[in-house]
Amino acid sequence: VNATVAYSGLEIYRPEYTHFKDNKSPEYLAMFPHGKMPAFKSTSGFTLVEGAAIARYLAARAPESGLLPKSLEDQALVDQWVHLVESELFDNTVFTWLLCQGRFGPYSKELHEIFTTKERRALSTINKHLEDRTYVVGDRITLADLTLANALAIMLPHTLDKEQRTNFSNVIKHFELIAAEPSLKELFGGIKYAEKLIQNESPK
Amino acid sequence: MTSIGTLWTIPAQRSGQVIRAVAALGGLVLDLPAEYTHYEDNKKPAFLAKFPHGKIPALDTKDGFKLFEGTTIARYVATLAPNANLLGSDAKENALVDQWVHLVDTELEAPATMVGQLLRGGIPYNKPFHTILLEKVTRTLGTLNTHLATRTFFVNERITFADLVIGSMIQRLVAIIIDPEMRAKFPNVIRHMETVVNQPKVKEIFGEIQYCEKALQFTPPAKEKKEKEAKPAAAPAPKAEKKPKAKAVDDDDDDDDEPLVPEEPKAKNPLDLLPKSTMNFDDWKRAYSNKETRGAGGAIEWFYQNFDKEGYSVWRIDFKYNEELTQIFMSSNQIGGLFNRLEASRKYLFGSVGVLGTTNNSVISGTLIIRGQDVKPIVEVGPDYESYDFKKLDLNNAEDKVFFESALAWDLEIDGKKWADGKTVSRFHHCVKQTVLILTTSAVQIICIAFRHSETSKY
Repeated sequence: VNATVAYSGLEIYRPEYTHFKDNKSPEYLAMFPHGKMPAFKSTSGFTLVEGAAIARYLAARAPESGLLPKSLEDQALVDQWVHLVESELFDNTVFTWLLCQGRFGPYSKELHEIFTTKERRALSTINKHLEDRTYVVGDRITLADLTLANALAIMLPHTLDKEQRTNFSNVIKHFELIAAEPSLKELFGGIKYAEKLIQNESPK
Repeated sequence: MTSIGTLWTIPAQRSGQVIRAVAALGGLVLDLPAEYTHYEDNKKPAFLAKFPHGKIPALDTKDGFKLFEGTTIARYVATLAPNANLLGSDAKENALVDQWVHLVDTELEAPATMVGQLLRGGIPYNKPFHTILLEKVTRTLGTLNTHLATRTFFVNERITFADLVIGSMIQRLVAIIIDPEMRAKFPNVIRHMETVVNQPKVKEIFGEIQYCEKALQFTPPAKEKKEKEAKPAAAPAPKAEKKPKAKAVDDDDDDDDEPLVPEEPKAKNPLDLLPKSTMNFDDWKRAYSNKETRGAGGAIEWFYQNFDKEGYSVWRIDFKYNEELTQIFMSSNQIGGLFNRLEASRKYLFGSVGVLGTTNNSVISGTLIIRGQDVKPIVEVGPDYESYDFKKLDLNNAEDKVFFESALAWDLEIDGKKWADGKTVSRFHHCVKQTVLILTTSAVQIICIAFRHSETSKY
């Protein structure tokens, strides 16, 4: 969502907010019953949750940004890639990280391998797609590019070491392109590239 | 009316059903492929050239536009019928529809699918992970239920894409993990699902609603203490006939009425009361282990010479939710898990079941030889049986015979999907290829994995 806002130039107000505290307060829950963030409330009182839905809504409000293309078909393609990235890339990276932090109980190598396999399969499809393309959909930055870059931002420090970066070089190239965008430099700049893949770090 | 294009899917695929429902409500026509064999046609280069990720649903429109990801296709089809307002009537309603769909996609469907895989053994069982996933599911059901307390539909009092997605998902879950107790906790969600799924234009697509009596449970291999389920369903409503049996066996305060330990010690198993059979089941299992399956002097030959069709029967077993299967080894694990949970029937059961096909394009299928003529008492000792279809085979029928023999010989092929890996329930089974997985139970049952490229020899 932040990237969408930054790139599109929309003005957004970010309130004082302490996570896990403020989102349990009655006022927050009255606005956003599921109790999660990101959560959006427009100046006219319209409320919305779910990051992808918020990003899409904001993009639709800034059509000149091109984040959501004009034609229904191109929009559907953007949706398609966003969906793939979220469900098969991002989620698996998060699970891997949680597993290694010990949040799923005793570390399980098998489970780790399952998440990694899923993550790499999706990466492979995307990597091929970017073989002869600069952007995921069409010839300018869309929500699909932002979502993919966002996923890379959490993968690069954890699940992609030098070898994997070589295996998925098109995806890395894409990330570096997006991260170089002036309006997005602050968000995506300074991402550390992992030396080695994330290991089990949970306390014994 | 001209069709938009071809939707590659199979009738049972839930996300495909949603797409078809959107089309039906939008008054649009979608062609279903005239000839499509899943797990075969979508592996072919022609399909992969169009749909590189190799999954279904996939949409191929008349003017060449192509799309994958079920939710995306459904949404796109909805945009082609703007008058149906399936995405709401303005930008804000669009966003709300998107919001609800996204919520259930990520916080209901994804965790629930993984719970299914954990319980069936497709993913190695991990209690904290299971607990976290269940908490997500329950929390989401709560949010949905609250929203529906004063509403019939999710967005602006008319049916939208969000209702179709949520309704179809709940329909699937009430058959597997949303048991009677949970259904009582989230009545609005159930009411909503029934309303949506029964809408005249989509009723046929979604089919019958099947309510589980008991949620799918996790049972560790026999002899281990059953882990307490973190589920709110402390005592899932048992089947009436099972209750007396369970009470007889359990002498602690367990809310578990699952017969972990075979009930023979306390209650006489009705299968023991069958008239004595001419075929000795252990002899069969030994023959299968020791002989080549096919050919002269082989196990199949032995079987036909000794089969007592009054005392035993032969069945086909198929997994109902093949579209959930991913990695081959995970599906193998699932079969292993299934057999573990049928431990109580080991005396009355022989099975040769495998996973056919390739990653993300597979089916679980095989054969069972059982004591008696009814498979139900044999398989209902384990909780997964509701996830499988059972069909009695007639060995006088040529097709059934071929299926049976191929399942035994591990060369079964279904719709072009070849046998990739399998498991056998037997007393003793020994093999010497690559990875050997040993699970011991009180009966020293050894299950092993022989990869497809090994010889069919069972040594």
